[in-house]
Amino acid sequence: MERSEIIEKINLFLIEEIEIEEELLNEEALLKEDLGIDSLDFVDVVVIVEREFGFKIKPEEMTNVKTLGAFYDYIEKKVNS
Amino acid sequence: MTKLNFDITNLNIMDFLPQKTPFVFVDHVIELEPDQKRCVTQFLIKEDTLLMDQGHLSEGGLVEVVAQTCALYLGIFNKYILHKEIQVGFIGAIKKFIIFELPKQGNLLTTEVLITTEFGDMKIAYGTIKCAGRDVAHGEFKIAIRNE
Repeated sequence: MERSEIIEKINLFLIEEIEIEEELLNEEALLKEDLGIDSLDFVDVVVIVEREFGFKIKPEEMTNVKTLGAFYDYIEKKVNS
Repeated sequence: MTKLNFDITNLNIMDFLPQKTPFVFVDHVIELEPDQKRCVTQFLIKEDTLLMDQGHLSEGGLVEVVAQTCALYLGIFNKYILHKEIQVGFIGAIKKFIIFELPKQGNLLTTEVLITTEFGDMKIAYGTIKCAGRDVAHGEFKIAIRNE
């Protein structure tokens, strides 16, 4: 899967379901501090990733994923491995 | 297949609920399937049931029915499957909770909860309340578990 397709799907979900403003979505944005994604929101992200990309996010794999760009990287690596 | 080796219907639910009488909206656990992460409870709406409004169990009461069914599933699962202390859970959010009817005194509610997603200390539970085979309400509950 192309990275652009991953970005499109993730961003669409963040805008429509978590109600994050589109202009905030950039690769350097910190998930928690800049985008305000808390653990309650993140469990929805877990659901959408499983549905759209076919794998379950493990909490321990997210330890070093702090930015949106790192999250795209994580999805890309998992989907294409 | 994981099974509980006792009759779940005889369990004292008050050992697993943080709420105290009369703020209790479950009478019995009737099914608990650990592998399916599924629990079913029953509750008869009585004359002295709290959260009633003009003879009907209110929206808040229906939320409590699902929330307490979730608490029972998590408490029993923790104690008998994981052999851990019972943890306190909090409802973080309720999503798409649709109420079809407000049941009345004398109605027997059967409530099924399925844990659909788990991520660390967060869980998503889908609850369905039925009465005489009809859907009364259903919706999604996000639960945060407090780790001591």
